Amino acid sequence: MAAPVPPERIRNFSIIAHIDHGKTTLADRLMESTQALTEREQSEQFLDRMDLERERGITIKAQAVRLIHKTAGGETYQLNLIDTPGHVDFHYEVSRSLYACEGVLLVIDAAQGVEAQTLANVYAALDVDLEIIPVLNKVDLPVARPDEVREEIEETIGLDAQDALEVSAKTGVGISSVLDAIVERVPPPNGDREAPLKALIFDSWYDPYKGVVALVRVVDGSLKKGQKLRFWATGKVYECSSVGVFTPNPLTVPGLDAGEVGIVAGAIKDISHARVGDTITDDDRPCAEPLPGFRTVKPMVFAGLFPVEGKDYQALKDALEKLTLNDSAVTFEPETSAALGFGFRCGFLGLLHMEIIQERLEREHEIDLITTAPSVRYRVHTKEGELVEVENPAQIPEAGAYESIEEPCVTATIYVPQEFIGPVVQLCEERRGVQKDMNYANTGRVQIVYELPLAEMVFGFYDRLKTLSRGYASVDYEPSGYRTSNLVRLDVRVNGERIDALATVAHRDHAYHRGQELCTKMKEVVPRQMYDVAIQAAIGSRVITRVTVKAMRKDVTAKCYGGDVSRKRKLLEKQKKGKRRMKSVGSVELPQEAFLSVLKVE
Amino acid sequence: MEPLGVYVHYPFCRSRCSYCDFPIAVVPEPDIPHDEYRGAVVAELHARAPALAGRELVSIYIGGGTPSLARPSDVEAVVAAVRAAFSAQRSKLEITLEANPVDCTPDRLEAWRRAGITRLSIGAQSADPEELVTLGRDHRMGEGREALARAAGAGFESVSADLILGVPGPGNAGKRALRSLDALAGSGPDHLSVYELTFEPSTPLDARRRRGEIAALGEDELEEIYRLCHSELGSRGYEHYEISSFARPGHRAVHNSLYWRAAEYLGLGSGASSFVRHPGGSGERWRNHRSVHRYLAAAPDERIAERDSLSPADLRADRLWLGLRTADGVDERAFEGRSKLLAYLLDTGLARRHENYIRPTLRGFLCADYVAQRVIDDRW
Repeated sequence: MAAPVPPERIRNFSIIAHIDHGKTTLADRLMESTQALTEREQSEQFLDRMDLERERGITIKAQAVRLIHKTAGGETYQLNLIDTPGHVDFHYEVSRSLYACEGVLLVIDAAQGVEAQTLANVYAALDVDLEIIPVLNKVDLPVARPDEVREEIEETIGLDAQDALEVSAKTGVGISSVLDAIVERVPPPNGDREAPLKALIFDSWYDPYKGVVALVRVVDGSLKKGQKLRFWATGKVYECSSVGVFTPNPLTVPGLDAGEVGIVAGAIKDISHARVGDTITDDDRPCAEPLPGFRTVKPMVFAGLFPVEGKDYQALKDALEKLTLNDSAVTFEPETSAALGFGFRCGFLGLLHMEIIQERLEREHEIDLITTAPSVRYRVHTKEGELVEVENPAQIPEAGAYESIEEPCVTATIYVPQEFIGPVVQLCEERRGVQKDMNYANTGRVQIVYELPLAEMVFGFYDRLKTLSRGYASVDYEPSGYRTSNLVRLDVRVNGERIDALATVAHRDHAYHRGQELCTKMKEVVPRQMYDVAIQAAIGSRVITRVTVKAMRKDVTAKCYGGDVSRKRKLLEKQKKGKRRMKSVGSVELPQEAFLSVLKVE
Repeated sequence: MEPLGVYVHYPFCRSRCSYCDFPIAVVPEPDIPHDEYRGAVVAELHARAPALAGRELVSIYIGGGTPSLARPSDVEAVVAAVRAAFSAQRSKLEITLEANPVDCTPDRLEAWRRAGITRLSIGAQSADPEELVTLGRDHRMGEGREALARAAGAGFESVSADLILGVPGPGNAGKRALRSLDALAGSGPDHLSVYELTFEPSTPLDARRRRGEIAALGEDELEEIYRLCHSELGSRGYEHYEISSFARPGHRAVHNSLYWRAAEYLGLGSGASSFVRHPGGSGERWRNHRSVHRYLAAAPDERIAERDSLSPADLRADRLWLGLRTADGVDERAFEGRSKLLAYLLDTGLARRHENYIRPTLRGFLCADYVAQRVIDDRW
């Protein structure tokens, strides 16, 4: 690897696939056939680093692996496989990863056909003019129907699929044709190696030994150890302490030239100095302008995270500090709840992001958490003419005590087969959307653009959309600013006591209905206690609905003799584990689900 | 000396009752391996008894299955072997045999008396003909009453009747319950074990419920029946001394009370469970293989299917929740370190204070599983 690889021998590509369509298996096969992995490593599905990713089958962090491929003609190519996150919450990260490539493999299950969720990424790839190579995977399955799936690709995506590759990542059939296609069809990078350094950060994370590490694609110039690196967005300068690549095992290299992909470290302490999308240049010989498209990713949804046990507060704080080292998109600040005690209000990119962080806290840091329903950041104009940003619904003033409230909105772009237009439009209207655009493609697909309140997106929009389009709609959204709405704070009272952690914000016209639904959902999850529990929804002092969880009348097993004692004890131990996520609020025990009931309201 | 009870499981039955999930074996009477089973039980006794030296044997309980199918000579031999193994001196040793009504013939009753049985527990279950069919019992209406009456006159120190309430059926469930209570309590038993029907998974009865052929009674109805039973038997002079147990003065079940006091017991035979304490406050529970075949085939040290160790804290908790299933309750000192739990039980009316004892209320009986959950949950 000493001699620089000329750009025409480099290919940068990514894989787009629906969950379970075989992205990881294909990636492993590619690594195997280029001898990047030993047999033991192959068993581990190398690309997904975190357990959580493997379990959910979602890639959260981007990855890049350098493969060395020898063609039949004896030429050696450097193939950089750039893995992308696969969820709408990480839309921006995906777009940056794709920007680092020249081509993508679009992997589609030859039995299941095109799935809606891949479409957003396909369009993102088309947006940056990437070469798309359709790959029909799992052709070994008896139910595989490659010809029909080819037609589907042409119809739904509008992509020429005649030369789509037929492979089986499982058996290895067709893998060499994939490598050949990458070499033949993905264009080589075109950068100027003599120009000043210009490199794109498409991921960064915290490494306990090296500090913050950035995954970069060098666009122009070259990057070497000892170089003074300037990070454009912050203007911070760090001396490059090491340059490396993943093969997939980490390997130190002398430098990276234009067109290459690798990792850079420089004793960077703060991950916000190496943000995804930012440009790195040479401080001594800077480029004239940064790469386009940088933006600071800001948390969009906020939720309170509280330890079930008050004594875990410090541990939760330490864990959050550690997590944010790796994830600059998470924010947190202390919050005190009358109901839940001391905790943190945390900001996330979206609901999946929130769930991932929550699971990591519980799993990696062993802290039992109560999470409140997510909210967005409202802007409250007070009567005194002040503007206050509020991320906690409980802090929205009572109706009448403010001038107006603005809520964040998004521009949502929905792709959906024509037959589902009706229900999708209806959903968007119900969700207080304003239609901006509707385009019919000749493929039978429609692009519908709506401006929607972010809160409406957050509360189950995605799930509803999927259900009513039988999985065929995909949605992508980006912030579009704030708009004034007629919003009110909806309180929940349990046995007369207002529970701050259960407060939500609703549009005044929807508040009554939402309050009713919320109480009904609460009733399903609040366990019966020794006395009746009244659950009320209220706007200010006005109670709009009430349900009662009736007192428990009977809970007893009649027999308790020799063998029953042991059996009963085991059952009790199991129930105790199930109760770990219960929080006593006043005189009532509320399970975690109660705090998320509002998410179940349609 | 610490008290000890010995339980002997007799697994054989003529047929399986529809609600039963007990470790039993349905075997035609001529095929019951009487000698082999008796031999295995006695061998197990001899293997276990040395480790339990120094306990005072207070009870022998032969349960099943259908122990009234056993040959009286085998019953006598097992009782004698247990007494000998623990050199029982006690004259008031309680020796119980469970019996099916149809087996309670005058000569059997006499034979059991001679075998040393002091207490008979008769599985009458119901006095309602349709309920007996639903339960899949092999006796008819009237036979339970006759058996109880005969046993009452046969010279046993105590006679107990088992009764199942809450059986699905036509008409008012409360009235049906009262009729059964009246018929069976009126036949002279000095002890009654009254159970609410439990739909155990994978029993024929539960399958019928899942198919929608019968419907379990609602919680309100069941609560009403429970309260009815409490007051009806109370007015007849029975003390409601445990969730499902009623006794005339002096007739509480010695054996069953051992379980609720977290005292030690040795279980012999297939599926039988044992509990022993270890020095230092810890303890151990184990259970034998449920299959008779497997039990008989196993070497003496391979009979155990499941074994659990219990810490001193586990046993303190067990003493609490088991004790709170009895009218006597538990000594307040047993709540040491659990003041939050105690306050909760008293505040919610699940228990009340009686001198130095914390005793469950009727509501505490009705919500005993809920109470037990709190006891086991050490956050309380």
